[in-house]
Amino acid sequence: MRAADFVVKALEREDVEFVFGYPGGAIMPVYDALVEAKFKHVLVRHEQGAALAADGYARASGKVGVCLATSGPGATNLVTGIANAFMDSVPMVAITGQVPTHYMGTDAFQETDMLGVTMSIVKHSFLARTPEDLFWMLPEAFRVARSGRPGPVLLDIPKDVQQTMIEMPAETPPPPEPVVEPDSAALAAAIELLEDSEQPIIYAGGGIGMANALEAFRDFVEATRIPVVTTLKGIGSLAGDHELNLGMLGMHGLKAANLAVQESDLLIVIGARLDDRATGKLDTFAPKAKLIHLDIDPAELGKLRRPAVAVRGDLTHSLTALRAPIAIRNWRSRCLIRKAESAWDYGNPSDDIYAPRLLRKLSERAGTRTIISCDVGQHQMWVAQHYNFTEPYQHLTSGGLGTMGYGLPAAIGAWLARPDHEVIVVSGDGSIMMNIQELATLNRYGIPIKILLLDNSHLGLVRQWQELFFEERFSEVDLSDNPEFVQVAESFGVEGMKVDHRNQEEEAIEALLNAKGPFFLHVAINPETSVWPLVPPGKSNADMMEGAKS
Amino acid sequence: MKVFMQLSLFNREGGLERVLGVVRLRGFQVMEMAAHQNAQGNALDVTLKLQGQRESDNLKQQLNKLYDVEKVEMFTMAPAKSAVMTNFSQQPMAAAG
Ligand SMILES: Cc1ncc(C[n+]2csc(CCOP(=O)(O)OP(=O)(O)O)c2C)c(N)n1
Repeated sequence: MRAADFVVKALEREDVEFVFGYPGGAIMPVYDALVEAKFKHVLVRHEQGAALAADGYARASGKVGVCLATSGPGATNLVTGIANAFMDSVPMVAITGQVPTHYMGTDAFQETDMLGVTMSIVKHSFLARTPEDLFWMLPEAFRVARSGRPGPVLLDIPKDVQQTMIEMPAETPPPPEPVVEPDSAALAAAIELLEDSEQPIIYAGGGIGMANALEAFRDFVEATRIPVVTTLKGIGSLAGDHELNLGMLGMHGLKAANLAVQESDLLIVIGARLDDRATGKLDTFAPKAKLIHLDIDPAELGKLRRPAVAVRGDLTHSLTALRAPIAIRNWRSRCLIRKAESAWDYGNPSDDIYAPRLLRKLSERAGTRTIISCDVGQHQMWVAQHYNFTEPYQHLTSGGLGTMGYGLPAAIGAWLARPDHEVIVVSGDGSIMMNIQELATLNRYGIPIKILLLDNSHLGLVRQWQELFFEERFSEVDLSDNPEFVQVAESFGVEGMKVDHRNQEEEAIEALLNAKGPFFLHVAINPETSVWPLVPPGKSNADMMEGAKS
Repeated sequence: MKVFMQLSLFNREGGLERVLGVVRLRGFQVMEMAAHQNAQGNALDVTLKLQGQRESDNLKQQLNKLYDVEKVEMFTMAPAKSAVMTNFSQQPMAAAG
């Protein structure tokens, strides 16, 4: 057999179900071997779509996502998706073809130094210079991608290596993943802080879901009854309508969440990295709070703020050890009263469709077997604020990188991972155009994804910033020359409908949810609707701007 | 602040580049550097003298995460007690897990 056949075998051994990719010269031997593969190859229409679909698959399934591309432009087109997975700690293996070894370093046709290009956006990268390298690098790539704090791994395979004839090597089972036990002295110190604290807040991040620690986390919340705020990626770790959930914190966080954190005397930061969008100006963030920081990645502990106690280790073990009731009745009720007082008012009087209300209604109507895959912008923040999630995997969002164009390809990956779920893309008229070509992928595979386009005929979030922070000097944010989206969708074989009046909100949601196949719901909204609250850049999270709710 | 790092790398493609990339990204400059391959050719011992304003403990942790890095040791020129975090400050670390 050829080494290329081994590549396919190795993917089968990893129980890969789907590979997202696009062929080309330097990866042709692998594409030839794919003809015999037991897993399915999904042909996207742009390699960025492949990487982002692999990301969506990984987030929805909890398994490693795999993408495949040729050398040069194919490989560089993956880069945004790899960076996206790196920032959000998503397990991914990206396999790229490379020019033959004797051409490497000669500026050959479609030669790009992918090891060099991706070095700072991968957990690790391998270049297989011989077939023997492949034998250990392939399983190792999967192991590295999913171990500890997950992330993307690149495997670059020169064409001559793929073509070399080999003997199939025996399968070597991967070494068992060691569980990192938390240090008992650190746990004891954390318990002491918890007992002494009067105004604690739990700061829940995306690491909780990724570490499979949801049960331990929820038990910890129920035992301590400490109010919870979540990061963008921590959404769903506690149900959105749970009494103790104060909502998302940060730049577009909810008032009750931001103020609780600012007043707290102890923050229990769990599987989160204190990203600047969450903390606001760091030296004004939670000024009275000590930190207990729990994470698997030692480099996150103390990276941005010194914890009083750092607990490195498996979150299930740590959280189980910290479970104990604490007496904070007054503080808890203060947080909950403020939550009730600052609850969102959806009664916007205008005749326009009001995006927060539409998303709220969708959330109430759609049920729990639903995945929302967001793009980036105002609509993404409205989803985070107004949609009620019960599990983290239901909320796919590009947090760390903020990749416009994420929504549609990620939704494709997510639906393939969970075909029994309703998968809905919530997009903006800027973002949707970044990977609109993947509508062809829906059609090709009969993927019944729903697309909810919130069209404000602008790059809304940028427009809002120009309005607020650049004296309304609007620069290159007008998209009123957008195509007729329903026609675009129909030309890809996707049915669609356009609405623009508030009394169409229910009807539109029904049409979206009742469609048998893929569906494109084009919702025209008022371009002047802003996202509130907003913490201006460089300001403390206590300084939230709250504009008119229109 | 000046800091010395002594690293032992598995001698694999790109290892040294990754180390230097992390040093740069995390806010340090190389003042001196020496690298020696061991007799078997499977390890590379690297000594770096660096300067930077950021927390060197974190640089060490970031280097330690690299797949090619087998071991990192760090020596600071300032007494360990005064090693403060850069911009970010506040309470001392009471217990590290
Ligand atoms: C690939 C990429 N380019 C640019 C940006 C900067 N950016 C962030 S939000 C935004 C506007 C998004 O517009 P749209 O998708 O229409 O969403 P809206 O804010 O209007 O809801 C832009 C340009 C980005 N995040 N990603």
